[in-house]
Amino acid sequence: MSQERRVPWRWAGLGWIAANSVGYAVALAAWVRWSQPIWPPLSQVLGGSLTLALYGATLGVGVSVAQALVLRRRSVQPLLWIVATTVAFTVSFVVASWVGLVVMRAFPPGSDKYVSNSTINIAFGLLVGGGIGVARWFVLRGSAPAAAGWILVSAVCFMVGYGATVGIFQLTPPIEQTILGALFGASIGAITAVVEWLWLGRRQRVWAEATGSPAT
Amino acid sequence: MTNRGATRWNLVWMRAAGLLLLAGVLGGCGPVAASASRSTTPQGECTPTDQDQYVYDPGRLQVVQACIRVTGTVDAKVISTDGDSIILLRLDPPYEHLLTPGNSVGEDNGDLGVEAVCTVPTVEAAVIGLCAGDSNPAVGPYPAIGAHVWVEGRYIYDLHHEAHAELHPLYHIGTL
Repeated sequence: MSQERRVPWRWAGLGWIAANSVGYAVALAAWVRWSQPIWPPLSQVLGGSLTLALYGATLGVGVSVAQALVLRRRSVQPLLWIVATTVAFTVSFVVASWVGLVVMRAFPPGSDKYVSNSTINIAFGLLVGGGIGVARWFVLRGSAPAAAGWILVSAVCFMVGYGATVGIFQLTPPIEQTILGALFGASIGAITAVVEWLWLGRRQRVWAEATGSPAT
Repeated sequence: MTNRGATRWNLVWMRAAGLLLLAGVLGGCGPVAASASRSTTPQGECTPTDQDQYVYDPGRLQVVQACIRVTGTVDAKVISTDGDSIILLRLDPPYEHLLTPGNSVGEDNGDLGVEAVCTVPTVEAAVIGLCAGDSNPAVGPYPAIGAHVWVEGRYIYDLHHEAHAELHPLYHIGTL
């Protein structure tokens, strides 16, 4: 019976989690801190879609650059990873935000807020995460035999990371705006990355084949 | 999460001047723009803005009066993860009858909550798309804590939070 090759946890796993935590934290803090002036003037552009696209692109750049730094050992092309991830964030964030709005309006007045909010968060998480997964599949499809697995895993993991973070921050005391963005982002990144790594990321077959020898 | 939930206890006040790219068009033919501050008490009737349509989950709010003007003292200011800026207003005696028993519970502490919607970048999926379309949020800077102010907004009961009274959304605010 063959034993599946695993990517060593110590550095690769912790690096993945750290990269995601920092990437989401920096990007979300920056967006929360500085984006407000562009919201009103851009609201008339495709109903605010440009704002949403910039929101997604900001997250995409921040997260993908951090990830690319730790994925060099996985033989991932950094530039392609960054571009693909950023495009995925941009598109999926716009789509997921509009879907969230449609879902919100689909609930009749007086609906249970926990049901409606959970439904919105699940839909949002799955769509954004799914987009991220498609980008990973696109980048890795030629070299990793199981790259398609990233689509489902990314969708579910981002949904879990985002949903859990929303729940956590229901319990928080007042926090300064930029710090909130950083902590909110760090939480999304950490939770998402931990689940991703445990589920799929530690498996060698979802990374580039060129990583023949186990990374350390 | 909701506007009045525990999640509101987040984010500080941040505001910068808007890039009024379409200000002329909006000012000329659009709805009345929300304003966070006026230097004098407005004369005449309470003037609503277009902010009603950007209230998250409006079905939870029972509208009592479409537009009302009150005066009071700013007791606290907080920001919610849903993009709302919340001013807790200690009402002047002539307006205290607007409070409900729900206003004595929890964070309100006997104040009237005044919520300006879509005024900070939100991290909540339920309102990101909603606020992306808001061209006239009643952004700050808002009067400081302790300031005596007049406020115009939609007078509602929030049925998700002990039916406490609020001005939601905020239309205009200024110092007296």
